[in-house]
Amino acid sequence: MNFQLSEEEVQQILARYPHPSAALLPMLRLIQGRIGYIPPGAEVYAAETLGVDPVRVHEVVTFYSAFREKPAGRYLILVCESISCSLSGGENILSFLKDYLKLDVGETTEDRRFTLETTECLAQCERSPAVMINGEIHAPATPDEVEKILSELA
Amino acid sequence: MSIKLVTRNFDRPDSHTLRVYREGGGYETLRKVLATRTPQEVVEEVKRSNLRGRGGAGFPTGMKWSFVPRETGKPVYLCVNADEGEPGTFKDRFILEQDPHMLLEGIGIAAYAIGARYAYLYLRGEFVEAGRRVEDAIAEACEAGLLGSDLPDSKFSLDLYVHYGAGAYICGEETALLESIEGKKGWPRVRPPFPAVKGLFGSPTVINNVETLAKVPHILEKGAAWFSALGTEKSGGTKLFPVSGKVNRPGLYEYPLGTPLRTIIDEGAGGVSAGKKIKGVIPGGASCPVLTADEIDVPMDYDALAKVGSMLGSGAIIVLDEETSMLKTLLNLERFFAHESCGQCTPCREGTRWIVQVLERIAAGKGAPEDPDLLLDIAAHMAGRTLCPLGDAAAGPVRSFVTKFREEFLDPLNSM
Ligand SMILES: Cc1cc2nc3c(=O)[nH]c(=O)nc-3n(C[C@H](O)[C@H](O)[C@H](O)COP(=O)(O)O)c2cc1C
Ligand code: SF4
Ligand code: FES
Repeated sequence: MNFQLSEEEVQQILARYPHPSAALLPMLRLIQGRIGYIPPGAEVYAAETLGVDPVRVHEVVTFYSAFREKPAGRYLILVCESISCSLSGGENILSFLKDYLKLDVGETTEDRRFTLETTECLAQCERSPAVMINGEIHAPATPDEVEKILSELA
Repeated sequence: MSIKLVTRNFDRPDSHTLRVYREGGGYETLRKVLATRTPQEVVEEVKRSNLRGRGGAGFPTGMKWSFVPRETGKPVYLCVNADEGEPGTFKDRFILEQDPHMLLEGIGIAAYAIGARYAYLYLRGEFVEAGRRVEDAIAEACEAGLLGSDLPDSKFSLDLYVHYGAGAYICGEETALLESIEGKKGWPRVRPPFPAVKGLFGSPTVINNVETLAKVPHILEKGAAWFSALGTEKSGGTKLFPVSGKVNRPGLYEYPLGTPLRTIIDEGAGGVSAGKKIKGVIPGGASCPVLTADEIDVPMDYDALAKVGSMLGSGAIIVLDEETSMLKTLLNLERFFAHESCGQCTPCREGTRWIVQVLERIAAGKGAPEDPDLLLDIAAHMAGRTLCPLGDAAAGPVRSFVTKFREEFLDPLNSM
């Protein structure tokens, strides 16, 4: 997996901060955007490029829930579990997805197409319950609609 | 009655574009301010407007700006808090998606007032659509000479960078946000020193919420007196109220501060859904103590809500009807806090976990008669003993739910 960024990409994020170490989050975000996760080699690469202690890079990767140490499936499905979605039936969506994909929360299908996870409030509460698939919001979601969306995905 | 300031362009097609924003007179106020007013005058105007922070704590904005020391030789930073993640809250997302230029104009005026040459907009990582809109708006504004070097009719320059979060609610807390921009994990800092003196990269820093900054152009356009007269004596202007839960028309409503909670629920959100009765209302997002049905005539402003033992918080109104289980609701809220505690202080890290365990036990039908008091006891040991307000935020709901709906935390056969 090539996670190295081009010189231009690195310069672009460095230019936004007075200290190179501040570019760590955007750098990890770019790497994950490209290969889907942050392998150990990428942590070392980021540490060396930005002159940060590798321990600190690892701390950041584990602290922020959006950074993944293992790749997700091709489609990452996030179901909101917070209060407004729960009041409008979010649990039904989650149990439907568990049955439909035969997955528990946190698991990936064997063909590596779908990963099912839960998330906290996505700030879509006026159209709850909310589901996010690869960054795209589907809300309000019903089991039927979610099934239709999934069946149309490659 | 609803008054539209921040939401005034939302219904226009392409409200997020520079063209539409300018058609409504957009950026004229920034231009006038830069050409005719001193930074000090802007700070004074905002002070007189009684604008208080819309991010949760309600701190007077003009006063916050006036704490920034001048002439320290260090750069001053403005950080825009767009990390919106408090369950029930979706107001800043609307501004970012529907009218990013109003926010940018507010950022320009605020940066001028505090003397900031650089600003960071800390955007929640999950805000994909908002991110697109904001980045496009920044590009448009730079192209039009409204951001960047030497803004119109002045020597003022401002560069604005978007910094994306990565899924940690705690980074909305202002010092955790600074740590996160510096490339570290989001652990809140010990205060003092306060960010106004020693903030981002050790420099004087102001952190403001998106909604707070979107109010600023209106204040400078129409004047502090006009703005403050819209609200109550101590809290000026309008507030965005995201309403969700058991109502007919969940959505975002803008009302003057001091509007009764009942009016916003009935007139704005169309009342309780399915003809049911209200059991309780969370008035300002997940961290605010719950109100009972008898308490909803309270005026929605900082002081009135404090008087009834709750808070205005983010203004997010969550309506619970007669069929809602208070046990299940509190468990949901506390799972959130347990999950989002950064783990730095023991009372918060352990307290939130313990609360969840006790609530799960009651929900499983294995509750003990002393559990309500145990919950209150754990909450009492958290409040006021933590580094940042998340510990209090987790304790407040426990106290209010258990005190006001005690019977639901006793009956093991509670309707789950
Ligand atoms: C746990 C926690 C989360 C917070 N999240 C946010 C947030 O998402 N957005 C926000 O504007 N303020 C948030 N705040 C409040 C900020 O710390 C800060 O008070 C605010 O951004 C200041 O801006 P204002 O004065 O314009 O309100 C949070 C506070 C805490 C304790
Ligand atoms: S109160 Fe909780 S969230 Fe805040 S610093 Fe302490 S452990 Fe972290
Ligand atoms: S509670 Fe699910 S989007 Fe807010």
